[in-house]
Order: sequence, then structure tokens, then C-alpha cells
Amino acid sequence: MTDEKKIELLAELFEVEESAIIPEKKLSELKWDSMNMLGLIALFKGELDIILPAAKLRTFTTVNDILQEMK
Amino acid sequence: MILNGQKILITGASRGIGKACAQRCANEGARIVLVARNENALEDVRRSLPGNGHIYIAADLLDPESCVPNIFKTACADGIKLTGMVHAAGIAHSFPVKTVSMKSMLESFTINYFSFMMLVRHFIQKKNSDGGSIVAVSSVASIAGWQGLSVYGGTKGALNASTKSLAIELADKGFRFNTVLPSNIKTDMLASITSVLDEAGIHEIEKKQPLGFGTPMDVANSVLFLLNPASKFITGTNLVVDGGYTAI
Repeated sequence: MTDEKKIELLAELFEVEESAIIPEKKLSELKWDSMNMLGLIALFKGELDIILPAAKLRTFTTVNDILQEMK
Repeated sequence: MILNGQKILITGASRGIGKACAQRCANEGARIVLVARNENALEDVRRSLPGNGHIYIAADLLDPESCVPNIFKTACADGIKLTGMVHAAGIAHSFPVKTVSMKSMLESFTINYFSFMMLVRHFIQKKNSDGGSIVAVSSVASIAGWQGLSVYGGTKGALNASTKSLAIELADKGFRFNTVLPSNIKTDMLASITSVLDEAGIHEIEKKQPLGFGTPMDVANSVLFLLNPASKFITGTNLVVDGGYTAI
């Protein structure tokens, strides 16, 4: 998956413009709630065929943490 | 024992509500045909059941067209017909609609609903039964809104609706069809939905049920009632088993 596609998917998930999805952005500045956490799990499974454990997800603090896991 | 002489096929029987149904029905004298994917778990459940004649069939209901005929061939290979069936197999993917995909929807509908219809199609064949009680495990998510469960609730709503038509279509052949609608029950499925919540979030969910979280056995008891001849005048019903969740 290209970096552009990853940004597009995360922008859709967090309901923000793609320009807001930058690596250093803190997740606390986005809508990082339980619904979007479940959405991220679904996104990983559906788009990347990766099972993202909830325990791992809880360690994410920035957009970069997500992007690293998408590789 | 109220299910003496009965032979009941139960899907999703390796864990959770399906496993509890198997234990409850076996305790009441029924022979159980356990169906699930995990062969080791099925064997463990089979060995734990009281009584004799229980068998298990490892099958993946994601491919009902190929596995369902084999399930019934094996289930009735001893020449003894089935008298009841419980469809407890299910998956509860929880996700917001903005991440929905055809793949995830098809997976949910295949396990939760399409496989049930295929199971019914084969259960009603003369070689497999002479009537009986069929119970599908639905969910209160089919009658009450719940964030992230729009697809799951849809699969369970389909079960509720089909059950009513099946009840009418097959009443004169001696078949009864009902669903049970549990709310939050302490199962692996609930654990996956609440995995992203902290303790306070889980407590918030529990507070929505005046009787607290239910157990798989709470649901199994209602399923037992619907399998039991004592409920012979009940068909086409969606029985809510929710600890008061929908009473609020």
C-alpha cells in the first residue's frame, strides 16, 4: 500500500483533511475514541489483512505509531 | 429429564453460548451433535458432556454450501434423525460504518445468517428429521441501536424476520422456529467488542443492563425452554433475554 493510500484511509477514519494526517500528530488531537479504535482494527484487517491486537493499539500515541504498524 | 430421546445439532458449540447450550441439553438427556471449526475444542466439549452418543463435526460455516450437506450426512449416519437444532455460531465484528467493506459484511452474513438458512434447508429433509424445534441465537442489537453494530445487528434482524416466515411455512410439517435475543453476555465475543474500552467504559455498558452482564448459561436456559416440548405452542417468536437492557 502506498503512503498516499494510508494517509487517505486515516483521514477518512478520523474524518479530517488528508493534510492533517502527519506523522508527528498526536492521536489525542484527533478523535481517538473507542469507535475509531474499532474502526482502525477493521481497517487493518480489511485493507492490510493484519490482526491488530487491542493491547498494541492502546500503545499508539501518534499518527506515526499507526503508520509504522501499517508497513 | 426433559430432553430424553432427543438429538440436537448445535453450531458454535465449542465455546460461549453454543457450548452452554450443549451442556444444558446434555444434562437434560439429549444426544448432542456439536458443530464448530476448532476440532480440539469440540473434542474437549464432547468429553465433558454427561450421557452417551454425543458426536462432533468440525466444519467451517464460512462455506455453508459445501459443509452443510456433510454436517447432516455425518449427523444422521447412525440412522437416528434429529429433533432439534440451535444455531449459535456467529461473529460479532464491531466497526463504524465508515470502515465497512463487502468482505466483512459477507463474512458476517455468511456465518450469522446464510449458514442458518442452509442448515434449515437440510434439517427439514425427511432423511434428517420428522419435525422439531429450531432456535437461532439472535441479539438485542437486532431491535435496539448500538454504535458499531449496524452490520451485526442487520444479520441478526435477518434471523428474526426469517424465523417468523419459516414458522408459518413449516408449521404443518411439525417444525417450530424461534430466536433468542441476548444482550451483553460474558463471552469471548463480548471481550472482543469491549477490548478497546477501559474499566469505566465496560462498567458503563454493564450499567445499561439492570441485571448486569449475563452468562452463556442464562441464554442456554432460554434455548432449552424453546427446545423443550413444554414450549410446543410457541413458534415464530423472538425471545428477549437481556437482563432488562431493552426495558430501559
